[in-house]
Amino acid sequence: MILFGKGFIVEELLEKNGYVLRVVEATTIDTFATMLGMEVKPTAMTVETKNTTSNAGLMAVLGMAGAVSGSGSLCMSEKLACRAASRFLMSDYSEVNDEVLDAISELCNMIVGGLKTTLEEQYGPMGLSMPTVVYGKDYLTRSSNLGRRINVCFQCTDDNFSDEFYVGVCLITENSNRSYLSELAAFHARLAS
Amino acid sequence: MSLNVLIVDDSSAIRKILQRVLRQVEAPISEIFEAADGVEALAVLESQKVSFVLSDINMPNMDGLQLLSEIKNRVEFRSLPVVMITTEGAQNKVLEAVNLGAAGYVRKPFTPEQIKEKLVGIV
Repeated sequence: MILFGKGFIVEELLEKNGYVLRVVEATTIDTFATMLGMEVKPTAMTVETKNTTSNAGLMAVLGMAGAVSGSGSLCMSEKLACRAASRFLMSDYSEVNDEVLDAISELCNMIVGGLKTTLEEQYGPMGLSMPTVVYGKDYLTRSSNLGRRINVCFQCTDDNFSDEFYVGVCLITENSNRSYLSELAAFHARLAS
Repeated sequence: MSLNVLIVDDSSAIRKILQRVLRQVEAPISEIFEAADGVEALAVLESQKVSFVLSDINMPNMDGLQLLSEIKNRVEFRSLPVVMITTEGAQNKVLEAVNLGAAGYVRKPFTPEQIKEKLVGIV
């Protein structure tokens, strides 16, 4: 069971930040369908109200820098990670090992890479970091103080198996140094409203 | 004619998937080599006979575009077909790869059929 932290579901978020969030939805659905043959459905969005979120399972994270800066992450339970890696690598995994960790970080790379490509079309060139994957129980994550993470939650159903996972994005636009602070303030205002 | 393929990707998961896809292609592939970055790839190319290369772009030490540039700048490797397989979909990266001499470009996520199609075209 994934703990979604102290977030709250924001219905109007999709409308206000629809561009980014729809890209997250589309790239996640496409990646799971193409690489895993698994159907996933977006269920909710949460916004971090505080900077810390409790997690259990795996979290893969990629940094983005350039016209838009921030990070994208993929968080799921051990059970789903093993299931996804089994589909991805066409082998059976009943427990998390290096291959499962690598498979999940690669899935995250594909999802965040798709988001980056779409954002570049509107904002300009960006770079991607190498993926990092964290695995454990009862750990905390913290997003930058400059932005707030929006989590797009998904339901994954595969035969008799069903579980939830989420893709988190924490992004700040930076068109120029002069407009940076005002854009940042506007970004926070949009998220808070 | 037998073909030797070099897979270059820092993700062992992707290398494993590509190995499986290559084994399914109806082509006389005899050996598949792996490298985790451009530096390792060049070492393989210097010691093994390779027929074509499948390479990621974003990798540590030496990325795929640097590797492609090295390959095309060296007389002994110049004719080697290199297909880029990457999450990089930005137009400038695609153009850069094409200008450097890439034989093809496949975006991740990919289906086995997309990879097979590219390879059959080259073979």
